[in-house]
Amino acid sequence: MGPDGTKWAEIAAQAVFHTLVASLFVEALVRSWRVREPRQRMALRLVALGYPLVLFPALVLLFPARAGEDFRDGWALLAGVRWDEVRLLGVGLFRWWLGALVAAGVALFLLDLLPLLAARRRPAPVPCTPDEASAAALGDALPPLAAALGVRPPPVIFLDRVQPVLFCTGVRRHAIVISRGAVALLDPGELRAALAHELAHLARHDPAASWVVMGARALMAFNPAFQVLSRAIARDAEWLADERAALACGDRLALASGLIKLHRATAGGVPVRRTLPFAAALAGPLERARSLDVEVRCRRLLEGPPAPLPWGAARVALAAASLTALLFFVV
Amino acid sequence: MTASVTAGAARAGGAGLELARMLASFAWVFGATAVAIAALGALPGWITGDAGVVRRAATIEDAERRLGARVLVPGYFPSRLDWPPAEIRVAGGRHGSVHLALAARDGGPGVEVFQATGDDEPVAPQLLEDRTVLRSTRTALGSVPATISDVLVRGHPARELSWILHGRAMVLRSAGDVDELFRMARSAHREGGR
Repeated sequence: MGPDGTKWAEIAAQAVFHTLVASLFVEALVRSWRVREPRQRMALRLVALGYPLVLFPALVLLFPARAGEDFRDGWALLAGVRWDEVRLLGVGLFRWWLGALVAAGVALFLLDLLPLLAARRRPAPVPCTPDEASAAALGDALPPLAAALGVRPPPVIFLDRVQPVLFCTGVRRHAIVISRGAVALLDPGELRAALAHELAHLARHDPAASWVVMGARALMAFNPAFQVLSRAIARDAEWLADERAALACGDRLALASGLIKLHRATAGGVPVRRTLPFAAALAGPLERARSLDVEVRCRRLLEGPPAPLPWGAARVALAAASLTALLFFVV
Repeated sequence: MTASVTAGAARAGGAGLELARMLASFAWVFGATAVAIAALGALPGWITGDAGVVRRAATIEDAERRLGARVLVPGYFPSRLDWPPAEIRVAGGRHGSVHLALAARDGGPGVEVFQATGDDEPVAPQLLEDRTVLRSTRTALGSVPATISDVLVRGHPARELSWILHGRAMVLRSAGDVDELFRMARSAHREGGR
């Protein structure tokens, strides 16, 4: 590897290690502060997610002296290249762990990308006119929920299939996709709660956000901590949508019950083509039998709405500032 | 009035407690992270032991900082040699050894200076590299006993002059004029550097 190649490998290694430290640090803060409000959790995790995209490049560009031997020996708490002095099978451990972490990052990225690509090859679901009962149920539920969540009622793409399907789609033109099976499976209260959940996603423009996150994940495909963090934020987005839906429909139990029913009915089934990257990571429980996720979401719904902690913005600022200060000394 | 004051004081007390809890948790997480990072940073040194590692230093000052000791350089410095040294290497961690490679301006044979900065310690063998001593003869630098040796370094013949200066092992090596080595050795002193 030439000097330029080595320099970029060191920068990539730093980005990986910095994100790893940032994510562990933020997770430790989330747990020790007992942050339960999903917006606050997302804000803290976004500090770690944004770190390799914003703060790390700023550190590299603004402080080139950090790359020097003097800084490594005299100031750095940790210099990754020092691990090259420990050899395993003739290769420095720095290269071993860099290779392992990059491989893990790419694997995690492909784990979500490949199902998405496979899904796009499947034929798109053919919409049809809903039957009278379904149309009535949807017509009754959607407008008041949309008003409660501050969005216009989106068009409904109705699928005439027995398998329960319910998700939101559309970056600019939002829509809700629902099947006859889902309407038949859920009772009116559960249907309202499930629709409110999808409307909550649309109200926060989660479909567009999912593409942005997927783009960032592609950019950081070599960074395993970034991949894991983006999944954690996707779960927070689900939780936030649950909370907003529960508030809009006023029935937390119905939402939990609807989640369980949909999960049971879809676990192990053939997935319907989805058009969003979040469909793989965010709405995973419906497709991949993520029973644990569903269990956790239901438990949270039954526990009641989480209270936000005081000084939320100060906590985020403290986390970001201290991380930057700490990681300044990691090269 | 009294009730509202009491409620306000309770709120302030609660907020203060929450703030203290927040800062204490933060300090714990920050401290634990910093310690973990520092331990990870120190681990390669613990595993390999600093003694086995040869590192390049950018300047004499850099080498002195790493060794935690002053580096002695000869007071007499032939004008044919280039300064600063073309290469500075250290080994053995704190109070280890240093190697200065002085290149000749005219492309002729350079001079290498090796020294241990720890009292009564030999020059770190990994700095002296793979050399074969062909013949050694006792000599003197004034009243200080010394040894002059014919050596083969990577197959090339050279002369090494070694002696103890203020308790430190010193070695000068060159493939050139042996008198030059003696003049440099006699002039070595603690305040050197040019």
